[in-house]
Amino acid sequence: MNNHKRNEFRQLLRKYRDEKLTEEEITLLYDYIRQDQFADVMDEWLDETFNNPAYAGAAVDYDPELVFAGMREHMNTPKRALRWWKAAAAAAAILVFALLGYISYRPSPVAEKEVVFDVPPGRQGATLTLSGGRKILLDSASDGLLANQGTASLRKTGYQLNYQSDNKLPVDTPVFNTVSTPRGRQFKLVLADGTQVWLNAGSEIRFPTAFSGKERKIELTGEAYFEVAGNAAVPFVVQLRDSRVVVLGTHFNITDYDDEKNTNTTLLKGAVKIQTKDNEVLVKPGLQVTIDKNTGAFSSKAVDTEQVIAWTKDKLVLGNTDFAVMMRSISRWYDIDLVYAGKVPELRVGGCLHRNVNLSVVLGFLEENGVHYTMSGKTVTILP
Amino acid sequence: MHNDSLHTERELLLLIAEGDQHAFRQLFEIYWKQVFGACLQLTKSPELAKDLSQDIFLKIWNTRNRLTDVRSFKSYLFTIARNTVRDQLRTTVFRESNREFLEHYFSGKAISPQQVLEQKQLSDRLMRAINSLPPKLHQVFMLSHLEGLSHKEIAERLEISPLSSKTYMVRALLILRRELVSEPDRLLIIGLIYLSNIFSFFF
Repeated sequence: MNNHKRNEFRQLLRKYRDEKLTEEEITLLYDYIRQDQFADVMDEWLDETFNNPAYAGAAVDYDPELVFAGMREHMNTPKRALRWWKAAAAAAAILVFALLGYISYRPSPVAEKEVVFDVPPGRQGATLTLSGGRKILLDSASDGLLANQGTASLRKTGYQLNYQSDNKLPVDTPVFNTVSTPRGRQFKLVLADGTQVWLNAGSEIRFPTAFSGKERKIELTGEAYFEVAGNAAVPFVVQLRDSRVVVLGTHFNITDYDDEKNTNTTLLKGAVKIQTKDNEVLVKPGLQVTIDKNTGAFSSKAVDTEQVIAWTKDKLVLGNTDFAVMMRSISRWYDIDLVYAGKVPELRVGGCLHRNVNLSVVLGFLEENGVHYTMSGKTVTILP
Repeated sequence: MHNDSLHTERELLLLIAEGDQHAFRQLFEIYWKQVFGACLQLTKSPELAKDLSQDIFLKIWNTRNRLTDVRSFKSYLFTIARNTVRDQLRTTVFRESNREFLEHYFSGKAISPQQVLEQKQLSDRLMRAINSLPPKLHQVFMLSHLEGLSHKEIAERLEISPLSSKTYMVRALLILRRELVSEPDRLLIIGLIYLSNIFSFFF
């Protein structure tokens, strides 16, 4: 019986794909899809479709060049993946400084360290994308009602975005909004269920403007700190690229940047569960769980949680992590490019600064800790 | 020869893993047609197929550090494609809101081009509605109506897929019907009867 049904579903999918379905069979196909059985049949069908070269022939609708151009602005280009001309320019800059130093008999380190342009710190700001695709720059938007989205209204108050949902209205189809911070910006928002989210620089969160159904699910890339409003009946789920964090009401911080090899989840209060395709682990308060994105391996350690979320309190903690991770975090906040002229130094620095200082203060601090660097424009080169 | 091309793809992947956009561009060109063509067949919507294909390739790029470990790029690509499209089929394509479109798309009322040509007279209001169709839809509609071309012929003329021609045609008819059905008008009704048959083009 089951076999018969599987077969029928498979045949319907194939007929749909190959333009052979009849109007009447649509109802049948819809029924199978609604029942959500036979996921494997659907997957096999998708696989055989992608693997069949016959379908490539008719693909003439779009000019591939334009399609590729359309992807460009969404292609993450982490600054550590150096373009050769940038590396060459940096090398040339170092050479020029070195030559100047040599010619004028000045000790070259002094010339190297001269900061030509200072870089101001990051500030509050983000871009909001409404469900229709309209974008609102939150840096400059005035306070008050920004828009109505689905059953929710959204207001900006200072550097905070609030979603309020009319609970009496049914949520038919969830409406999704996206808030993204570029490098050099951070922002705070309050979701429709009262959950507070601090979004760090270079991050993005996508969420429904009102929650419905069995879970409160949002998507995140980058770093965010959450204080989830308690609702044990409807778990809050943070979907990351390869894993998900399931919570019932708690305080935790997540880092999942595309240019970092690890995903870190740090729990301050409550309990969360982290799931990947083949693994699941329960996290206790005070612990940070790390997933190696390449291998999928879990590890956990006790951390100073206040340091982990210091960024939400306008503090810049230096030395909490290894050198390269720390520098990438600085580069995201000041929107600078980083170059290593040699190997990445194996240094551990320790300290805490206000996030509101210019880059020169941070670099000065690092220098006191034995970091050598040069700077040209917005590129900082770390010397061995 | 076979080994050569494998070697080249492996090199491409390593370059991409290091952030080389030119290498990524080459890879994109190799697989674009296969990915888009399958997505088109699966969604019956050229725009959705394009967006999905872009999503698929963006996922490859944005997790490019994994490419160093990839043994068979093709199966890696198609796994990402499968997961991306599966979600979209559930949330967009096989939804009640898309059902009317699919019903018309798969409606099999056959009609010969001759019959279409015989009924060339259309009311003024219908003409105005046709003229305000979005450009692609308008082009497809006019080619089939005025010249009696099949989807295959329209596709060749406009450099689009036959499937897209059919999709645009069904959309055009649904728009016209929606716009005109509220006006009870004899001529219109005749026009609509004609319309309900016109999209039966085979391809």
